[in-house]
Amino acid sequence: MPVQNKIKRIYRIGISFVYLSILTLLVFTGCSSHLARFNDSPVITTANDKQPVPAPKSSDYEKILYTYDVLFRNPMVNELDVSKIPPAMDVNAMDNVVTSTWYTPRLGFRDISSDTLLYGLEKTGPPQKPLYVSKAKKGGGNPGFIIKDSRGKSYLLKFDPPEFPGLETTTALVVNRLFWGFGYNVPEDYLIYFNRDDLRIDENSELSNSDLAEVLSQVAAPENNVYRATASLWLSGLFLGPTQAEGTRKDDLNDKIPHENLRILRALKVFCAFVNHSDIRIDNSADIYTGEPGRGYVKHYLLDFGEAFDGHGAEHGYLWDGFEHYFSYRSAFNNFISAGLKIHDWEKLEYTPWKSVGTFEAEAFDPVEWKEVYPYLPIRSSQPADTYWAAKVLAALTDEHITALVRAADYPEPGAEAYMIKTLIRRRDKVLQCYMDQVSPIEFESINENTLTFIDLGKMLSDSDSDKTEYQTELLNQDGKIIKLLLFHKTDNNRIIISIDKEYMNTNRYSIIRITKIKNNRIAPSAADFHVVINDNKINLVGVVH
Amino acid sequence: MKIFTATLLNKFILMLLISLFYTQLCMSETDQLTENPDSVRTAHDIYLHTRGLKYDKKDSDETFRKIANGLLFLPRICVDGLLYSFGSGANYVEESNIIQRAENFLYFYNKTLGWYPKIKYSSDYKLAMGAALFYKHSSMKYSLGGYYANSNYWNAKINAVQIFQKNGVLYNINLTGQTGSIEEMKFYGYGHDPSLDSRNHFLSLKNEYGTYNQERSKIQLVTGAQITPKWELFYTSFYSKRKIIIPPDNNPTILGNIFDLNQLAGTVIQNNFMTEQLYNELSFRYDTRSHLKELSPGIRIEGYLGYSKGIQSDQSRFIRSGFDAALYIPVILRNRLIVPRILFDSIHNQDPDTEIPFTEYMQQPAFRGVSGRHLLRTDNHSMITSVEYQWPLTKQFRGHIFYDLLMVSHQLQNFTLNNNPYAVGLGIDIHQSHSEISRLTVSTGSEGLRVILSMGLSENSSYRSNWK
Repeated sequence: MPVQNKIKRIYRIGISFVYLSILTLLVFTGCSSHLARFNDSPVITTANDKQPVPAPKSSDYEKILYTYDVLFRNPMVNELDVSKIPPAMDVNAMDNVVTSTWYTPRLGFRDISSDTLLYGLEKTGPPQKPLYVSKAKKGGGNPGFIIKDSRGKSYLLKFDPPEFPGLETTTALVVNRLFWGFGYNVPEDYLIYFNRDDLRIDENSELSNSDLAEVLSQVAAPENNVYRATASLWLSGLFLGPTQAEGTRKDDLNDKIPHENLRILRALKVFCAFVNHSDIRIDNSADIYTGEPGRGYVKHYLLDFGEAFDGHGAEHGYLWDGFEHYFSYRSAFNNFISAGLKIHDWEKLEYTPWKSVGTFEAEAFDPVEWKEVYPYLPIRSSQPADTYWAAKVLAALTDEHITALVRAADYPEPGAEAYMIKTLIRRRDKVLQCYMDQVSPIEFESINENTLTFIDLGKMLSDSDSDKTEYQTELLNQDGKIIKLLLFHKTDNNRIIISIDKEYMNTNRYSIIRITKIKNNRIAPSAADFHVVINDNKINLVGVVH
Repeated sequence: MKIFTATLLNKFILMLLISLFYTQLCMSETDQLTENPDSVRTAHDIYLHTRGLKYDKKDSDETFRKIANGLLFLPRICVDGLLYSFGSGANYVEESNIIQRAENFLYFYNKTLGWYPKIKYSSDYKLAMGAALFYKHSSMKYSLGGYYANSNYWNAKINAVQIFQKNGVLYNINLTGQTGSIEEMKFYGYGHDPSLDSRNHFLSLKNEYGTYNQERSKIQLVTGAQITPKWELFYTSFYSKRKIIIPPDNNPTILGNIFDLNQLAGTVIQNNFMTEQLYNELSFRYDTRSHLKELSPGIRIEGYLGYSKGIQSDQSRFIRSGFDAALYIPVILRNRLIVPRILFDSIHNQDPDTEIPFTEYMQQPAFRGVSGRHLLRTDNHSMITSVEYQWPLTKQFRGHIFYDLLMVSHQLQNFTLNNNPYAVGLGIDIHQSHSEISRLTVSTGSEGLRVILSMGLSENSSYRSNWK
C-alpha cells in the first residue's frame, strides 16, 4: 500500500478516535447529575431588596404590543426553547417565600383572624365625604372618577356595570382582602355608598356637572338615590408603570431575580384560579418607588380585582373565561382537528340567577387547567413546588374568613351571599386537593434525638377518609445514592415518624430523607426531600425540597 | 476537491464538538456562591444565598437541553423576528372590540388616524400587498388604501362613510371611488358547457379559456338604513367604466386567440373594448341571527333588483336581480352550524338590438373553486348552492368545511345538476364584529387545488354585507 494511503488511513482512524473520545466525554459529563446541597446556616427569612436606590425610569406599556406578544409571538417562540424552567429563586432553605418588596407572610405563617383579614390593611380608611372629583373617565370600559376626600386623600372611584349591579363592587372588596391575606401588596380598597350630593367638583378641575352626570349615566343605577362604588386609595409614592411579567427592571438595583422565576408571582396560578382573577396581566400591577427621593426602593403591587369572580367573563359574555386564553394555538389546533365535535365543559355553563354573581361557579372549575385570559409568564412558569406552597397558604383561609369577607361585601341580592360563600369554599377545597396531589405534601414537624416527625398536609387538609395512603421513605447520601431503601417509619394519624439507626447517628454526615407519598396506589409525581446534617448524634434540618 | 472538502468538514465537526464540550464545562451552574457584595451579585448568587444552597442540583439532561437550545437558537431568532415584524403590521381592521385592542398601535394622532395591512394571495394568482390608511372623526370615517403586485395588477380605493341615527333608525352613507387593473382574467365562454354552446365562437379549442387584462374605475354610493334590528334596506348607485386590454404578445391563451372577438357578445371591439354603465339598485337584508360576531343560528336573506344602463358609446341596458339565502342551523350547541346557502343571480337584457357585454355578466365570488375575477361559467342565470359546516376555534377564529356547486343556465328551466363546477375545501377565518378580516382556505374540486390567503376586509364581501 502506498505510503500516502497509509497516512490517510492512520489520519482517519485518529480522527475517529478523537471524535469518539469527545463524544464519550460529552455523554458522561452530560449525563452526570447530582442533588442540591444546603449550607448548615440560619434560614433566610427576608430578602435584601430594600437597599436605597435612585428612582428608576417609568416603563411604558403598549397594550396592543403586549397582547400580541403574549398571545401570538411568545407562545410560538417558546415552543423552540427546550430549556427547563428553573426553580423559584425567592425561596429559602425551608422552601418558603422570603419577605420582600413583593411579599409579606400572612395567611399560613401567622395567626390572621377574620377581623384582621378584613381590616388589617386599613391604615388610611375609606374616603370621608364630601368627595371632590378631580378627573372623570367616561366611556370605554369601567367609567369612574378620581376623587379627593375631605382630608385631601386621593381615591379612584369605580362602579358596577349597568347590566350587572353589585358585580364589581362586591368582588373588589373580597378579592382585595384575599390577596392582602395571601401576602401581596395591594391598595386599600373600600366599598362605599354615597348620593349625588356628596359628589362635588374639585376647584382645580375643569369638569362640569354634566361630565359627572355623563359618567354616572354609564354605571349601575343608584338604589334609592344611593350609589355604590369601590374606592381605591391612591398609592403614595412615584408610579413607575406596571410590573413586568418577564425579566427585571434594569435600572432597579434591587430587582435582580427575573420576575417569571419569583414564586410569589408563580403562586398567582393558584390564587387567581381560586378567585378566577382571569384578567391578571401586567397593567393590573404597579411598581411604586417609595421613600426619600434617591434613597428609596421599589415596591410591587397588585391592583384592580373588580373583574375577578368571573366578572370579566360575565360582562363580556365570555363563558370560556377562566378555561381558555383569549387565543391559544393549541386550543385553535385542537378545535380545528376535532371539527367542533368536542364540547368543552365551559360551553355548558349558564349565568346564575344573581347579576351580582354572574357566572361564578365551582363545579366545572378545574384548578390545574385554569387559564388566565392573557398568558402571564410567571403563571405559565409555575412548578408543582410553587403551586404547593400557594396551596399551603390558601389552606389557612378558613370558612370563617370567607364568610366574613363575603358578608362585608354586602351582596345586594337575596341568596347571592350564601351562594358565594358555598362556591368559594368548594373552589378552595378543589384547589387544595389538586395541588396537594401534585407533590408529596409532607412537612417537617419536629426532631427528637434520632426520631423525626413529619406531617402529611394533604391527608390533613384535603384527602378523604377513604383514601388509602402509604409512604416510601429512603435515606440518601449527599450524592443522591440510596443508603437505605426503606427507612423505618410508622404513621400516626397525619404524621409520619421516622427513626434513624443509632449507628448511623454516630457518623457525621450530610444526608437526605426522601419521603414519597403513595395515595390509592398512585405514587406522587415528586418526593419531598429533607436535607439533614448529622453531627455528634444530633440531626439538624438544613433544607427542604418539594 | 472532495478530499479538501472532507478535510474541512472534519475540522468543522471537530471544532464543534470541542466547543460543545467546553460549553458544557463552562455553563455549569454548580458554581459556589461568590463573595461579591450585594450590588454586583447576580440573580444566581442571590438565589443560592436565599435558598441556603452550597450548590444547586444538576439534572442529567441539562447538557443536552443546552445543546438543543443552541441548535434551535437560529430558528428561534428567525421566528421571533418574523413575528415581531408581522406584529408591527398587525392585520386588525377598524371595528368595535378589535379596534380597542389595536388602537394603541395602529392609531396615531389622538386615536383617530390608523392603518392596516392588506394581503391578497391565491395559488392560482399572484401575491399582492398593500395597506389602508383610515381616519375617524365623529360619525365620519375615511379610508384610502390599495394593494399592488405589478403594473397590471393593482387597486386603489378611497372611501368615506357616515353612520348616524335618526328617529330610531340607523343610517349609513358610503361613498367609494376605486380604480385598478387586474391581469389574466379568464373568460370560459357562455353556458353550462361552453364548448357545446353555439354562442361561443371559438377560434381554437386548444384552451378552454381566453385571458385578458382589465382596467376598471368605479364610483359608488350606497345608502343603507337599518329600519329594525332584523331588516336593512339599501339603495346603491354606481358608475363603472371597464376597459379590456388584450396584451400584445403571442400567448396562445389570449382572448383574441381563443374567441372570435368580432362575435364576442357585447361592445368589445365596437366600443374600443370599453363599457360604461350607470347602475341603480334597491336591495334588502333580513337577518335573524342574534350575534354577528359569534356563530349563531338564524336566517339571512338578501335580495336585490337593479337597472344598468350603458352611457356614451355603450348602448347596452339590462336588469340585474337575485337573492342570497342562508340558513344557520345549529347542530351542536348553538355555535356549530350547518349552513345551506343558495345564491341566485339573473341578468335580463332590455335592448334586443344590443347584446350585454360579456364583462357585465355575473361573476361568482362566492364560488370558492376559482378566483371570483374569472368568468368560469356565466349566463343569464347563475346559481351557487353551498353547504358549509362552521365551528369556533377560538373567540376570533372559525373553521369551516364547505361544498360549493356552481350552475348556470340560459333559461330558468334548463338548470342541471350534471357536470357543474364544484369545490370542496376547508379553511380558517379570522372574524371581527361583522365580517371576516382574514381567511385561509384550501379547496379542491373540478378546477383543481386552490389555496387562498387574504388579509384585510374581504374584497369579495358584497357592499351590502359589511357596511355596519
